[in-house]
Amino acid sequence: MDKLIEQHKILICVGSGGVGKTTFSASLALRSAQKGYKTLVLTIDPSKRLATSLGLSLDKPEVVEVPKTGGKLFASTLHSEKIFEEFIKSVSKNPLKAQKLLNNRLYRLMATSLSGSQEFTSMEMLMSIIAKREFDKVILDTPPAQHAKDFLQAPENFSNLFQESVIKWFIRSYDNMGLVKKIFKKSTHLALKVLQRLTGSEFMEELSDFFEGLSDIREALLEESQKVMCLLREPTTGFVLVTGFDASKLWDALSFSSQIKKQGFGLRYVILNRAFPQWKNGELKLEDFGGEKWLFDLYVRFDRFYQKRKEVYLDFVKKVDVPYILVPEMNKDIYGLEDLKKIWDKVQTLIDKGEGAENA
Amino acid sequence: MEMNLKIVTGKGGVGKSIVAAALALRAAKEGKKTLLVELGEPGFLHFLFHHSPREGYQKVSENLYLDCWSGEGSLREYVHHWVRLQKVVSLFFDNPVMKSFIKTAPGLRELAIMGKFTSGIREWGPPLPFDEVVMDSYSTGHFLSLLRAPRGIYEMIRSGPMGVQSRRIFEVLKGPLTQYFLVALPEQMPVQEMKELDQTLQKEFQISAQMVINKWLEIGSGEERLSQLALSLEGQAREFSVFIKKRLQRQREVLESLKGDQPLFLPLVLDMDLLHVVQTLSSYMAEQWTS
Repeated sequence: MDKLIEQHKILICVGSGGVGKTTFSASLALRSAQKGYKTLVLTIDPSKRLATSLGLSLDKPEVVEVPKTGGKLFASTLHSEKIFEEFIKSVSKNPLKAQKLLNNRLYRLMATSLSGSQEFTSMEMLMSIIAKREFDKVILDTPPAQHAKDFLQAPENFSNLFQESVIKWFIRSYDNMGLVKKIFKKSTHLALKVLQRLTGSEFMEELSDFFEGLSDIREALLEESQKVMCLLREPTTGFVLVTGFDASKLWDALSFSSQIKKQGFGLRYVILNRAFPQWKNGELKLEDFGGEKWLFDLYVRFDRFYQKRKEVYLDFVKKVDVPYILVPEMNKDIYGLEDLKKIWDKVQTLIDKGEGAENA
Repeated sequence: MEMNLKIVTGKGGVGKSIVAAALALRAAKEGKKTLLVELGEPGFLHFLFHHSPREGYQKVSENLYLDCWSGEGSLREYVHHWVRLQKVVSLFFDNPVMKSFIKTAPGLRELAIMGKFTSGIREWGPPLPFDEVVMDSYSTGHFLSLLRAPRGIYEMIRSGPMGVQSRRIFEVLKGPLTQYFLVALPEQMPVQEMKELDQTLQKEFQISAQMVINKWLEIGSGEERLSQLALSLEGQAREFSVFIKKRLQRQREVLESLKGDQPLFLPLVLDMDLLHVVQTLSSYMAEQWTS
């Protein structure tokens, strides 16, 4: 498992929502720092308690050193809106235009909610950190998504917004309705009329401003997206898929793992989080519980459930040909540095015993 | 009967979809014609009910229907309703520039989904012939975008059909016919996130939501005895007792942190047959939740 850290400069933790990506990223980063690497973990939306134990302030986008780790560990939280704002300002040729875009009401609606904007900014931040060469290892947590694959589709969705044709269409068509008839096909003109009828002219004006603002940063943005995709495909960039243990999550993970490999990204590990309880599935009897029938019955219920879950899991690992690691269910919430370390110790013990991991 | 709307949200992995399905099943059993809606692509709920996705809603059981709404699909339906001419609608949606626009225009898809959700009450747009619509919404962040879109748009555009309807959508979403369920597990982190979301809803939208704690373990009077047993038992039996004991301890901490709030509870159902879990939870709601 430590090989994963040794062989990569960038590790990206992906997975659908609620599987423990942020916690796992932090735990991976701590391990890396303790191995002697100067490590940065970029978290997204950490819980308050995890942020506190990493020494992070949630409102400041700075990189801070995490105290008392026994290594060099740094952490930062992603502030999507701010990063995008800075990006616009830095690439825009015309500061007035940049400010106009930042003030546009549609832009403000978008900056926080547009699909892909958070993914773009997290990659943008990754790029600027890599360029500075300050760290040996960077661990990236990814934005919460419904499906694991959303992360890889984000750059495409996002650059769609900046297609030249769309931008031109909206700016010109609204500036000069007369021009539209000459330049565009009749069908496009008709589509525009339908849109105006459904939305009203006020919306169309706002939209036109929005796209005009975008035209200024378009090239820089597309270039940046390209660079990011190259960086993600480098051999020293590794993806780690974190997944939970219910059937739908495993199903989601499976479709993701085949997709990510197809697209040429390096999927290195699958982490099955909270895979099994601390106690072993087994054949305990009523006597083992000192004759306490109610407790024994409770045990039987839990035991049957976990046994069945194991079947689902065995079915899953047969289908994924990537090394996997099982992380046991912890008895408590994970937020302190000690807890993060414990996860690794547990995993390492299991690997040493030859349990809970394959090809690790 | 007036139409009721329910929206279920929460951090990923807390059982949001199961809770939404149970709410819908309960309403259906009460005799209400109920639509359970999944957002985006057909996923977990279609998997749960063993239904392959098809155009439009499909019957799952007595009074219960299932559908999947995408932003683009809802928009298409809406445009079709007003433009009528199929040829024009096709021109509109098949136009390459329009296609990109729909994919990327800020807030548009969210608005289309919330428009469809509230269309029955607003009596505007294509008919939605149900007594109750239960939406298995996105998890926290994306869910807020669903609410922010109609308000953002009406604050921006006061005139024209889009401004007027966005305002109506938002009024319905804030109104008495729409109920919000925020689901969490009995663990600190999900509960913390749920509380933060609850505060955001109050502050930003003046919406009061119902908190739901899922997978609650109840062992009645055994709890006291457990502490002694955790010490006296040995081996794996002891491990198991500690596991249960710690779980109960976490639950107590959660209860403590929810002082002053009035969450509803759903029991932990140890079953891999998820449809059976949904049935169990819906019966529990019918018996234990008085609404």
